[in-house]
Amino acid sequence: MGVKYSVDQVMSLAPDDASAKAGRGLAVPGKWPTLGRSSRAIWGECQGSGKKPYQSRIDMNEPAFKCSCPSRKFPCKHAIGLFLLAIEQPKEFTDGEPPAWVADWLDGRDDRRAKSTERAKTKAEKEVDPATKAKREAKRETMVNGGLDRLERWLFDTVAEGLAAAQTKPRSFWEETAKAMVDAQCPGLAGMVRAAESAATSGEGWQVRLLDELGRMWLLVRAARGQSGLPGALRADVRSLLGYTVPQEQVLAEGETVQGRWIVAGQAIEIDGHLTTQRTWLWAPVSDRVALVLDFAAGGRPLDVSLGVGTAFDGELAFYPSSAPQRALIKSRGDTVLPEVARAGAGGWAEALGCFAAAISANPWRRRIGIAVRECRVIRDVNNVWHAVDRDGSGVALSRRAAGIWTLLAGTGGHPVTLFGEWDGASFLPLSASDDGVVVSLKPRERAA
Amino acid sequence: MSVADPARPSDVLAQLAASAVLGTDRLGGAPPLAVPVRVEAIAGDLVGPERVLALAAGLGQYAAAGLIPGEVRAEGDAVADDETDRPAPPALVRLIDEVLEHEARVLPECLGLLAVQGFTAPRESLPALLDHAATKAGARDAVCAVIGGRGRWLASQNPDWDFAAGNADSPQTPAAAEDLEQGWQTSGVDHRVALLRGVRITDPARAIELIRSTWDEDDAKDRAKFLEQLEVGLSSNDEVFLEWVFDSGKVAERSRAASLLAGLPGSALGERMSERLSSIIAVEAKSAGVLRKKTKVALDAAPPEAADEAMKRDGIRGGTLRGIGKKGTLLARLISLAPPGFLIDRHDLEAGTVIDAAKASDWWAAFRHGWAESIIRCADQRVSAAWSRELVLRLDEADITELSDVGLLDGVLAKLEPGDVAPVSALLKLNSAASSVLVRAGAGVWDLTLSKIFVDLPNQQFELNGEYLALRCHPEHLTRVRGRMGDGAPQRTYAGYWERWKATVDLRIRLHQEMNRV
Repeated sequence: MGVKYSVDQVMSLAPDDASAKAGRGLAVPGKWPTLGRSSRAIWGECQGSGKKPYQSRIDMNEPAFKCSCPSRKFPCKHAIGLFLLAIEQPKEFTDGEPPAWVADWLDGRDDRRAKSTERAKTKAEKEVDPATKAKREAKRETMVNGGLDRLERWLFDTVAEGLAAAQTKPRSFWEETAKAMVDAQCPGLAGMVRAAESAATSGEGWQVRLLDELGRMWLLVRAARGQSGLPGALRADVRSLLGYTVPQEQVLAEGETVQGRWIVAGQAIEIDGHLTTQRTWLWAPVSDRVALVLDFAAGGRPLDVSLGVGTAFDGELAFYPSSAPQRALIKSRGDTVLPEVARAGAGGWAEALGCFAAAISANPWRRRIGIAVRECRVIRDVNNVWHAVDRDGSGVALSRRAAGIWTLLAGTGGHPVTLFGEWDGASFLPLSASDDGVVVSLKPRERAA
Repeated sequence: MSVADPARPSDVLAQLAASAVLGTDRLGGAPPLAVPVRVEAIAGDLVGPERVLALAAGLGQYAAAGLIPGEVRAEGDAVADDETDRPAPPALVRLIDEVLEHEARVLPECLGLLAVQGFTAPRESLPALLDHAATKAGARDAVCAVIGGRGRWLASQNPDWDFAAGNADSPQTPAAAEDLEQGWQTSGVDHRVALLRGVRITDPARAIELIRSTWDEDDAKDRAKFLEQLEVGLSSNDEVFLEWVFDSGKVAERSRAASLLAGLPGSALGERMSERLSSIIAVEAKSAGVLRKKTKVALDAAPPEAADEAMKRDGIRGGTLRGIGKKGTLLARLISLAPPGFLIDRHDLEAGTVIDAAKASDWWAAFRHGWAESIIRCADQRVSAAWSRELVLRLDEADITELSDVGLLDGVLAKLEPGDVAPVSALLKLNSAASSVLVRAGAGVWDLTLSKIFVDLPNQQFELNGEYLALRCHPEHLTRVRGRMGDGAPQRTYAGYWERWKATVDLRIRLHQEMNRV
């Protein structure tokens, strides 16, 4: 099988630098007495310090890893070494049917996937006693309404006292309100209160940003109270903002599905206390649809590494209900394919910002969108601020978290490329650059909230 | 906020925010604002804080939806001129990263291999290489040699990488000249030294003009620092100025000027020193054999008690070198500012013969010290290599210790011809300490012969020199080095270092393999 991954992509899968380095050291044929591959998987036995060699195997479709070594790192150095070897020295691998220790694992994976789909189906079909369900929902409704009342009072008081007063309040001023929102089972509102707190301390221009946040919250309180009068999709947005979750099974079963060739166009990671959130943007250049796949990891557990920036796959996504659908789940995933960007994406920044306007017109609380813009150059203006500029010379400022700009410039020499990234209404965070079917990840700085 | 277009939602929002800072309690509600009709519709008949919030919600949406991109003006060349670049395959990017991360001292070898194959650096590596060279001035030449047009363009976009921007061959623009003049007049000493260094490369005479232009106002300490920069691009064109320093400068400057001129072949200073030495040193030579070669030579010296005014003018400093005495010190200082061959030219002798005679004299310590400095200063590579060889061949263990103690041994060894094995073998026979000094000498990878000498060292010396074997052994012997290094760490070496050196050897082996593959 041809390997559709790059060395960089593999190295970026490593859980830490030590594993990456150790894996690099293992990517020599001499360390692997046996190396094999089939149309789906690669495997190898690596002589470690023990008597028995470690058996390492990779399902190349996702990719997924398994190794018999005792390491708690995932993927372990053996898997990384094996993967690198497959890219750099494919001739060292013998084609053939996978041995039992590989085949059993692959079968097990298929079984588990079938079962989980099955389980999801059963769970979705399983009817909870309607009376119990209604009672539970009514109880939450009451609590949420209480939360909305409290938030509204807090908003009025804050504006009555003035933004300057709010800015000088102790942390508890914000934190108590946020906690009250969590207690009222609207965690989404708690997040908005914290966003307002950051706006209050965001430096020059904070007044406008804080007022903007407060206005947004007020709008949400109003919308939540008048939910029944809202169109279905917008109502789904409002409930999601309050913190109601839609079960994955329901999204997979009922959500809008889109089939396409999806490029993994960018990834950004945010760390908030113990919770790490990974935003992975998928982009189907043909239809110009963009989807956001979220992955959460708590307490230092590893994030999903199966979506490497720059790879692509044919598959079907299921979107969460929204008036401007964005968040999605991967419903089915076919083989990894080579990314094709062609002439896709917005033709310029005016068009890109138009997409943003359309998104917030549909969902006024949408904070960021993923967007591709063609023929962009990254340049520094006379004030030393970086911008992404289209072929007409129009552009937007880059986010301060933008990284890899010099690598991008070294790669392009100033020639335009298609940039994919996040636009948040104020700045653009480039996540990847593509040119001639090659998508290069621009890993942004992680942000600790 | 814009007066010309008061109805722009973002401006109105800013006005609203400005009033909201004080609060509706104090202001009694939202101020009258020119809001879009549909925003007004949201606010309706709301009052007090709620009206402010409603207007904020509506205006916020309008402002966000109405954003338009700005026109961006960039500085510098938009596109790189790099058609002649031949970037190495991306497979080498990772390797270069590893070299930078694990052992940057391997970088010149790594980049040298690229250059030999006619490659420029892989594009993805350019930022890392330029960053590295920005902090390590010693790596700049190697880096600048392989970055190509793309790298020079990239460097021109980042002030930190100015050194690689490739303006060297373009004459300075008038604007830049003014900046230079101003920078020289107004900057702190470090920046002025940097300016001088840059000018010296492109226009050596201009550097001297700059130093002269502020000589009277500048501090003597700073002036000595400026003079130090003249080492770059030193030529006989600088002689007039440096002679002027002898007449006008203080001790530190005169001594700095002297060490510059002493290295310049054929300088008047070297002549004057040779002249003085000829009146101090007595040479007794007996000719013998058919060729009437002067084989039996005896030296004696009669240095004065103290330097006279003319010597002081020429940068001869006072003080006494340890263990050489007052007269010996003066002799050593005079020799150090003369060309190494000051005696042979006058008396038609061989270098080796003269050194032997000096060694047999009562003044050997002074000769040894003086010659070592003279060899180190000598800018004529052929001369300095020949003298370094002859001197090293005649050093015994005590000489090595003495020269090493005063910090001159490394400098002398550095002047050896890279492939010159005889003095190296001679030194190695003396003791292990000598070998550990020797391995530091010179630069770059050893040739095959020298490498073989080191690879074959007995265990103890092999271990002592592990670091240099790892860094500088010829690629053909690397596998052997790795084999001898084995899997464990020897008792006497710090295990951590030993592991590191093994990794360095592995890295270099891979480097050569991968370079051969591309």
